[in-house]
Amino acid sequence: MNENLNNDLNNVDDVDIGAMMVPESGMPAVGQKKEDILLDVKGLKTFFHTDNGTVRAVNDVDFYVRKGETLGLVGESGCGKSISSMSITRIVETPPGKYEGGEITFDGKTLLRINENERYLLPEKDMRSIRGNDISFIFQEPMTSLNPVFKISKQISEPMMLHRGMTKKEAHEESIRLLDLVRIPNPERIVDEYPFSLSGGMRQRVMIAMALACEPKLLIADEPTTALDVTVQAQVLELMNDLKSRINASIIFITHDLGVIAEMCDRVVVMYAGKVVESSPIEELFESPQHPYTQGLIASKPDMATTEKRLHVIPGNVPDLTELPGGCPFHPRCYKVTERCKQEYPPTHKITDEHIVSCWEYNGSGISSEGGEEA
Amino acid sequence: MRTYIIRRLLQIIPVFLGITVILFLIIELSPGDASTNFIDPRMRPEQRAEIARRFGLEEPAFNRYFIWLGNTLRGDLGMSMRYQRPVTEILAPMIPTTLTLALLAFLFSVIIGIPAGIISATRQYSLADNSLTVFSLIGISLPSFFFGLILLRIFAIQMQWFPLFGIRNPLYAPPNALAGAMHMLHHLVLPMIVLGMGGTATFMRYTRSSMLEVIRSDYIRTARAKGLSEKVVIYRHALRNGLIPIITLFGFWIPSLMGGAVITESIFGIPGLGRTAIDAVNFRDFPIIMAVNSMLAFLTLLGALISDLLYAAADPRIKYD
Repeated sequence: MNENLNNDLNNVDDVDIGAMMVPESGMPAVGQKKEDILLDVKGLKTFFHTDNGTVRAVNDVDFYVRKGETLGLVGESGCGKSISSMSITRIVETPPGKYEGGEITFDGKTLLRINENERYLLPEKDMRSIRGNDISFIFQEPMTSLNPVFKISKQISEPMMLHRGMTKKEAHEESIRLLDLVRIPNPERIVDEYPFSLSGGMRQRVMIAMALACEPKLLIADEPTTALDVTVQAQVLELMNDLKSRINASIIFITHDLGVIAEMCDRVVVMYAGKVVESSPIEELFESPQHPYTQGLIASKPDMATTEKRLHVIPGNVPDLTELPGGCPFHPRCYKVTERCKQEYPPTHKITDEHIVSCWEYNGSGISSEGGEEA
Repeated sequence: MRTYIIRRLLQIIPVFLGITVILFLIIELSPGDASTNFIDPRMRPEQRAEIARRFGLEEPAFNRYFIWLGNTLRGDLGMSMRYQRPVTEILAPMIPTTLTLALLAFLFSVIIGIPAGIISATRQYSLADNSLTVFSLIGISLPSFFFGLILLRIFAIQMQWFPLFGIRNPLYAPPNALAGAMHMLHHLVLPMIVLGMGGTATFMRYTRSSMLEVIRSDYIRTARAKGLSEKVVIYRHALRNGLIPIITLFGFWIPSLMGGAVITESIFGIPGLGRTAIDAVNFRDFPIIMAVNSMLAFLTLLGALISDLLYAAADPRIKYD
């Protein structure tokens, strides 16, 4: 669906992904051409130290994004998907947050490397030249994510004047073009408006225009449609799908909506309680979900075709991140739970090059659906 | 916008008249009048009546209010009972003194209070924040007459950096206007600090809480995600929003400054409206009390209007029409 995006990408990374791989990590990048990988996150840990204990919001998370690819990050609220993405450009509020471990490589540059021996963070000044330039964000709340006292023009112009050295006038012209690109009617007029005079859908389009301003290599869309009406959601998704083929960016699409994932993404990473539980190409995930949590998520999706009256739900609640259950954090809600699940965190099984799952019940040919305590 | 301002100015008239009625009633209900200062207990009733007539107190209160109102509208604020001189003549030289003091105190509060509040908010719970919080609590709770005396003791008596009282040394003849102004400013430094202290602490606390709220908002995260430097994020994106509630406080601060001036001017022996008003109350010098309080009421009403206009200027979401 977006192979053509790779056409223009002829700059080759000089980073040897293989050499940077942590051997134990059964995670990505093996078998991938190294020049394909734009962003590689390994063993990322972002914790919040609060008065009520340490919240392990992101706890040893691995994922990667290829050039031109759209990666979906799925999970319930509080599973660490937003914090994972915000950790990439270090816009998590610290304190209370703290980057506790892992390695992030973006476009050949090491953004973060924290282990027992070293604590390297790309200097703030260099990080700033990446934020809004190479990596940009679209946030969840269009109603509050724009500064209420500045005109649209100023807000879209800002990153272009900062990173591209444009003059105010050039940036203003470019802002109008960008508003037109995101299909805002009368861009010449809207550009001089304040955010309060725009609707939520319009504001989210402005956010998208702002994120595209510097032609980023990576666009992180953090639940961009969650706060919008369903009809407006569809419009914004359609717009993003359309833009995907026109911009040369990789996208990380964060959502809890599997329907959106199915429409937008090439590959999916499923997160639960700060961990990656399953990662797979999109078709494989829907056809043969391996992790009981993924299976639950897919089963919970409302289906118009079914005659069942009740919606399937995953029993229980998301655990309190300060008091995670031992072993596999999903075990209290899992229909396949065994004694071992309560004791030890499961290993990561590689099903195919692209499809991995972290579950004790995976036995090489899939997780049997009979379930129970027999193991 | 213009029609809004005109409408608001017209609204001031009935409110102002109502305030003068209440003022007049309060003065009328308070025990004693100016004539008692001249009355000897051994005087005969006719003599007392004569003194009352001399002060214009023989008319009923109802009539006297309208006489006062009529004269005031013609620009005649009456004769001071104590000084036997026109009130306008007595107050005219004091207005600039008090306004200068109030303006200095206000600028002091803004220049110290707002940056301190920003530092407090951006470094929440740091040593700087905690120290500033303690300072502001002292600033709010320390009575100004006491604080004033401490400053006088340290800086005027021990250090001798500043004069003890007044606004000018009668023996000093300034060679030019600038030297004269500097001479007066030198006298006003300590009063400015005393009068401005409450405002400094208040603006600081307001700025702190307002900025704390703004810094946590989504659009500040957006600003950071754009790659803007922390300086631009705080001083351009956050401050523009954080100052909105502070700016609206400015207009309402006028009455506090005038009220504070009463005490500050008394401590530092400054011949201004505040001290004159206190003296007038003690003497039951009604024309001066009425004049000073009416001015204060008018300034307060004007301050409220200024607050609303500043609000519209600072926040594009507010529009009057």
